[in-house]
Amino acid sequence: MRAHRACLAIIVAILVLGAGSAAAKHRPNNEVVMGGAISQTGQYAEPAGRQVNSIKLWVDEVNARGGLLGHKVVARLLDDKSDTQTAIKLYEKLITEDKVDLLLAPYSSGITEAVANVNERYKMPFVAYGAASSPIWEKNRKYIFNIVAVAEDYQKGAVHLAKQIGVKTIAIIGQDSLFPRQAGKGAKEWAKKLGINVVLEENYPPKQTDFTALLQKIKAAGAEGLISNSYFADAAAQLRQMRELNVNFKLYSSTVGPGLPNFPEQLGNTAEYVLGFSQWEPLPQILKHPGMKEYIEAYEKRFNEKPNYHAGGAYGSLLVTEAAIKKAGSFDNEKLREALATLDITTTFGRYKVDAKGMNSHEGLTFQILRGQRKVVWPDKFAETKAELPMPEWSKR
Amino acid sequence: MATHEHVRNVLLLAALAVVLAVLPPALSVYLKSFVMFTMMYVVLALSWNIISGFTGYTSFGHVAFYGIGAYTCAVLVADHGWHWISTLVVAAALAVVVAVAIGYPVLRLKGPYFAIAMLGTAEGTRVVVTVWDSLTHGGLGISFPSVENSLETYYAMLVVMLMTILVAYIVGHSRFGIRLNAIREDEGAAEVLGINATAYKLAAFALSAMFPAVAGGIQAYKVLYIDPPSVFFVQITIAMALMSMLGGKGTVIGPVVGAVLLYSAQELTWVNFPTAHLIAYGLFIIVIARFMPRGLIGFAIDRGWVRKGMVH
Repeated sequence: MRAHRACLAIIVAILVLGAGSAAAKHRPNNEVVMGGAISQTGQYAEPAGRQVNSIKLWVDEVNARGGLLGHKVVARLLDDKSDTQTAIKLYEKLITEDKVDLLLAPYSSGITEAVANVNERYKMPFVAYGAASSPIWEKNRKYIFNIVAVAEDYQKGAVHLAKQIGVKTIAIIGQDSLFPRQAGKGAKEWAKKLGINVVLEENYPPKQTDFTALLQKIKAAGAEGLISNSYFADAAAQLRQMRELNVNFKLYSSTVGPGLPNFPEQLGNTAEYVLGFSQWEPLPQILKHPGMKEYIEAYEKRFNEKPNYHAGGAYGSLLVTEAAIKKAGSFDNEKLREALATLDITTTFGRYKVDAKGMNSHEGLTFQILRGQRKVVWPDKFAETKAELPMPEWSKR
Repeated sequence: MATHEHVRNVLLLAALAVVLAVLPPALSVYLKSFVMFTMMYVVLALSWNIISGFTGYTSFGHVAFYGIGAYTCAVLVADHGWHWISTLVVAAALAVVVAVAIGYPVLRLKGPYFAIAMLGTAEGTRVVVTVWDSLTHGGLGISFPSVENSLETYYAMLVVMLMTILVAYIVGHSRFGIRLNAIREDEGAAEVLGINATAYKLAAFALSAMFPAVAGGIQAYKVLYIDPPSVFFVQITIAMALMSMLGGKGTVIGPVVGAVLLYSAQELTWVNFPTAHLIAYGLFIIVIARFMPRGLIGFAIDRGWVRKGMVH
């Protein structure tokens, strides 16, 4: 039974190798390791990659200004392949084997929801810049802190704008997954508060690209405005098909798609007047958060593009963490947790001050694509220009 | 194969069981998870091999059973307060029912219909789970109450893996297994010899559906949060097929070796080369396909390193 024996030997060898590498991890005292598994491949690679950019930038900057409490920061970034199972396993590795001192957050609400069980168990806090789904904070967790606006508020601006232009009926559609459904729930609540009638609500399966039947149904239901909790491909398909079918709405708003840089490029004229949501924009003269200008310049110099809100959120979270460690005066998890729970600070990303559940009340921005550019149109205090609504009919473009 | 060889094989399996059973205290939580997931892939690859390796009916949608198991466990634990272990029995039963329901019409046909039907089954199951909101919470996914579970899931997976290996071994060495091989080699000839091909294929399919569902249930409890895209993940089916092919499709030991090697190789590359692991993985597959089309075990048999029949 040579093959059986060989197989057994291989298994044992792998286990021994693994155990050996686990025991060999020691680091000099002047280093502090910050570890996280962030999607560098798979479906989330693009937004998560921008967060990785910000992490790298911050690590170099913090080391240039003397590190954290005099320690040099070393980032240990692993790739979860956009897969939940891999993510939890890698966080277990970072915590129990690599024994990292601080944790970085993963990307996406779903993966964060799973990872939140792991870091909670080992009482290691982090600021979750990659998750906007509020149920994560409804489970009495103590070691995860929110910084970005939650999904429920992604359509807040669009619904307010609908109210301003006198829209009385809207339809809410969205992809059937965690984040878009939360956004839909929030949109419905805002509509109710503002007295707008929701005439149709429907979730479609991920990857759906044919919306002709759904669009006809929405029109037949008498919706004046369309709130779409969508990503890139579905939002693009909806707009193209609206144009083909000559279905007109006074307002169309999508959660994620229009915020991506290539959306107006790919859709051209069809993307005009579309509303979208952004957690943050690289507009220091309008948002006026401290340090924004320097951050944007440094980011642009290094990565040849302006930071988007994913990058901005990660960078702001790291500044929050840095401030919390200073306040705590140590890397002790409990002290750091306490500091993150009580800190009140305004960073490049905006104000951070969490409530008892660990939730921040970050204010997002609603923008409109006008002449190929994203222009902030809501809330009024941050508006670059006035929203051009209702959208002109397709036949008049 | 002589009786003493069977005895020796069973003793080897028992030795493996003992080693894996006493190992956990020496392992970090991460290594426990790593070994647990490795054992899970052994279960998946071996199960896939029963219908696709022994019987020759390639399944492109085995992840459906894994997903059904994961959802059975999640719904019963999170919404109905069951103990997670007891849900695994329901998961296995449900997978068998689904397998028979799909297999009964489709496996009566010869040829590629089964492969296509399974492709549809996996997608269809994912859509049903996504749309059946009242039962599965649709796209919101299901969260379990948080608990430290690496030890219990480790032992559960160990038991399931041993059962799977034992079943695959028995099938591989029984008259039943030989008839499955006959169907694979020439289904018409097998029928002429009086083998009820449909019944045999159906039995093999039901058997191959059962353990992936149990593995899916255990992994759902391990991860503590599932949603349709994460459990009906096409790559899981691909992994089952690749691991079997790497080790040696149609043998008992092949998928075990393939799963252990491929999963470990993946882990080493993505931990150490986070951005290059897909390239390394791709090269690995190309090398296997080019130089070892019959897998590692086939490669070894062809060169006379292992005696044919001994490793089946």
